Amino acid sequence: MGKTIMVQGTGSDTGKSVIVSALCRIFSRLDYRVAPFKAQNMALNSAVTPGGGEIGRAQAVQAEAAGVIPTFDMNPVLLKPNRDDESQVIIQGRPAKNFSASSFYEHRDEIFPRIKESLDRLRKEYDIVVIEGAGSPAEINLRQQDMVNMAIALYADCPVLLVADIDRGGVFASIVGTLELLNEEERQTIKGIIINKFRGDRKRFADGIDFIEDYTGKKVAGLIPYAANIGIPEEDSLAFSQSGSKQDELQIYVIYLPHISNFTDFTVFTEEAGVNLKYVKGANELDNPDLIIIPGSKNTIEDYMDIKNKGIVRRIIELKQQGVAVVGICGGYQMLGNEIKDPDNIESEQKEIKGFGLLDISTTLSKKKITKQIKAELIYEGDFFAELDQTLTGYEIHQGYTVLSDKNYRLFNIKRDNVDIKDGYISKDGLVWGSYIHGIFDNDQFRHKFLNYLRQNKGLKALEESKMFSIEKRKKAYDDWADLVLENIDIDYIESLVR
Amino acid sequence: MIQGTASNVGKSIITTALCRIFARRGFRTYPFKSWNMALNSAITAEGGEIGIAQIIQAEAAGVEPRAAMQPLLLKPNGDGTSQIVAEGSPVARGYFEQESLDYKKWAMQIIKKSLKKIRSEADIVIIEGAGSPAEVNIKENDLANMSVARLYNTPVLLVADIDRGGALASLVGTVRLLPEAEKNLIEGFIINRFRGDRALLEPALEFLENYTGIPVLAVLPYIKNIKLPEEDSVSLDNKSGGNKKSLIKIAVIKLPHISNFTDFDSLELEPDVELNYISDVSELSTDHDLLIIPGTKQTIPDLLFLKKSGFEAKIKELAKNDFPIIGICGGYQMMGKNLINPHKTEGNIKEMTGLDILAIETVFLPGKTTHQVEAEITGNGELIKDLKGNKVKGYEIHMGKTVYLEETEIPFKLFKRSKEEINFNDGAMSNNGLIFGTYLHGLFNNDAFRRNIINILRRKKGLKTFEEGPYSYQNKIKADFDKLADIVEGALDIDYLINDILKREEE
Repeated sequence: MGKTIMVQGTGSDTGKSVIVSALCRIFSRLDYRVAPFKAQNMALNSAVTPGGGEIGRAQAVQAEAAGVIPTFDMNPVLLKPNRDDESQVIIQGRPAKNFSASSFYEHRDEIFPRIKESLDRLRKEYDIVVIEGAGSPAEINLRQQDMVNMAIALYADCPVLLVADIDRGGVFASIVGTLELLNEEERQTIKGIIINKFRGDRKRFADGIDFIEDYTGKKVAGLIPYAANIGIPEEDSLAFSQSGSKQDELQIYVIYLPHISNFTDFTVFTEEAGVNLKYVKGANELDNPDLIIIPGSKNTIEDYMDIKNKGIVRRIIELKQQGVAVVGICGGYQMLGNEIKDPDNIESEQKEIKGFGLLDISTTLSKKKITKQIKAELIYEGDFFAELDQTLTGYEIHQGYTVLSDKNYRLFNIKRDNVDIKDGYISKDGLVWGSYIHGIFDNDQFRHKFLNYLRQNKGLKALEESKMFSIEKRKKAYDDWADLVLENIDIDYIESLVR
Repeated sequence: MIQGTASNVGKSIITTALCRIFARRGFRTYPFKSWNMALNSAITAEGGEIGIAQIIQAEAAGVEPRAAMQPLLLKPNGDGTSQIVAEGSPVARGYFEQESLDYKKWAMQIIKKSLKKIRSEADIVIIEGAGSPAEVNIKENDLANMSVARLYNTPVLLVADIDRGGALASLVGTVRLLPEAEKNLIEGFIINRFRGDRALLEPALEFLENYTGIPVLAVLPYIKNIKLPEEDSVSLDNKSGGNKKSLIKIAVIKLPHISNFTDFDSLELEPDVELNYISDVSELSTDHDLLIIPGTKQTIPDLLFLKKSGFEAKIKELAKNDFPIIGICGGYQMMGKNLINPHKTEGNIKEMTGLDILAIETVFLPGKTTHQVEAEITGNGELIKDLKGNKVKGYEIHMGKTVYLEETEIPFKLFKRSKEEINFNDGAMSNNGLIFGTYLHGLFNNDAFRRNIINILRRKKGLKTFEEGPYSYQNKIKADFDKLADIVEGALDIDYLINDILKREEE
């Protein structure tokens, strides 16, 4: 059985997730085979594993940091907020019945065994599983329903590191209070404390560390400095704060749909020089874009009606007529077509709606959910696509299939379970295209060529591709962050805990 | 007294609500915060400088703000040091090693004196703490929490933010780490920012009361849509454009040592304005209509930032192309030809050329000018001429004296300063009338002035003047006070506070 170590926090947002990423990286550099694990996650952003399961983006990032392929076992329960009160529940990668947030815990007896099964499987396959908790383990009113903090630590007999955020104040109280509210058995699992987001003079905090160690009897195993921007992708919608701060020669506007999903599809643009990525909610904000992206959606039909009512659809068509490029991904791709049919009323009461009519395609929604990591070969040879020599990688998550009319304007050939499937479509003038492939812009060469195509459309000089952002840099970000953490934790002690 | 388990749990806003609630019940209510570290300050009628939160709280209580309400203010310089403002006036830099015994003794004396004065004038004083009272490593330097509560054995309500998780642990831990005498001062808990199912929370509340012996006096909801001015630039990170019909876009440069950015809150509340805080020159886009250079704690270092970051070249180019630019206080000083720093009060550089878009020169002097002022609009330039002869109110906080290098359009004439009749020029304006600078903080809180500037920007863009008259910033704030007070009053038994808890203090 693989060994385990767990990171819990005194509250939300204390930095658990990035500390798990760092530990994954550090152990993997020590030649362990490492997997991240978080029993239950609530997140808008999901990623797809090669096996076709949907998991929280954070665990996919941690897997990337660990240098392993993500599997649904790494995050066996994922809650994706749907409409206001409802969450879609994904269990071991597949959507379960629609529970509401409150009835979810009534199904603990069904769900928790699946979580344990996933953890057991990971422990068989990996040397070390780095487990992440959620929120605080000391919410005594929620103890009965816990599936993510101490319930896991006790099940796996796993040493726990407790992370506290010193930046917001009250760090001593939160540590002492957390330990006090745990029962003896739970308290025993905590083997070390990590203080995160420290700014100031470390020497002057020596007394503080002594106090914590004397008072709690637990070792302070790390004092990690405040790091504002560590270059690791964000998990939650909070990341939508503001636009980039680089020379904004190219304006890329993403329509912020009410049920927007998988917005990490576009975060890579924020890394590119000369690109300003902006999320827009109203037609009046669509002033002067060079590219409009319609992203994926948790509810395509409702979201299309919403942007239609807000005048966004009309404004986009107007801009397209002025020569502005338009791209749709997944749900956005479906919207760009002539119509979306919903014969089984999966998304709304309506059986059929008309789309933008910018692409000559037609989509029918179906109950079958396709979630798959894919490789796509280019079959279209016009415009910037002609210069590509890269096979694209990405993933699909959608319910529905799309019929493409003219074969001369199909973009990709995807091999799915040994069957060739055509994906993506481009308009005759080359200005509008769409695809089911999430993560398509994470293909460095594809993204670089596309951006240069947009630049040339605007009369700007093409940039040298070698100087544009590369995903490789992201890998360096993992290393830099791991180095920073490594300098500030007692890794020998932590390694000795892992069991 | 309102204390918290950590920073940013909602102490200030709860204090503001209590000030309003007690004032509505006819009590003469004063806010008090002994020690404050904040970037945003404002000026009392007597010319004293205090944190903006206490100004707002006094406003909520319907009383005139007083320097004694916030006797010690630390304004971070950004380099690890702070300017100390005591009883409204700055203390010479380097006077004390902070955290030294002398400092603490001196500070406690000021706090005691001020609190005594405030108590003698008010029926009820609502005291706000700072950070957490359980920071064991710095407890002996405490100037804001239990040291203050113990002066009169003031009853304390401890606030925790449940939205971020770990609220129970932080309350239990705080109580655990306090010595008995201090723990006994805690008369109740307030759980703030609760959203979700109250039934799920009940067992936790019951547990908390049984375990600590301290009652939970209120569970307050997550309050949205009430925007009161904030103290720190942390809050700037959460600001973004918003989704209104923002036809006019105003960019404010987020200087590294930006201060008094509450100057622009009223602009942000205009229905047709989008306000962006920008820290990189590339964020300034062609669809911006006005650039504002705000006040700063460190004019010369921030001017250096403008030079190094490419802002300087951009600003000069904009000025040439008739783009409207307004500078407030430090921003105004930067717009001149030269900035002279003979006493090195603003960093180590003795002299620096400015942005050179206004014909002025500023010399920094050790003395600090802090006044509430009234001024008449005198200038003829496009941005202000419609309101010539009208009066505006504001306040000055600056070190430095500005002189005119050539004949210059003067936008404002000060006629009242801290209640004294005077006659001074303020500010300077460019020949095209589209660029001006002034020392007047709070200028945009003058409703007619603010609306007029925005209407001029609309006209320049070919848009019709806004049909509605100006919204009243004061009325908006007052309505927010009442909304806030209603929410808190709905969750907290005020009669119990008045009849029971408030009587527990030792006279």
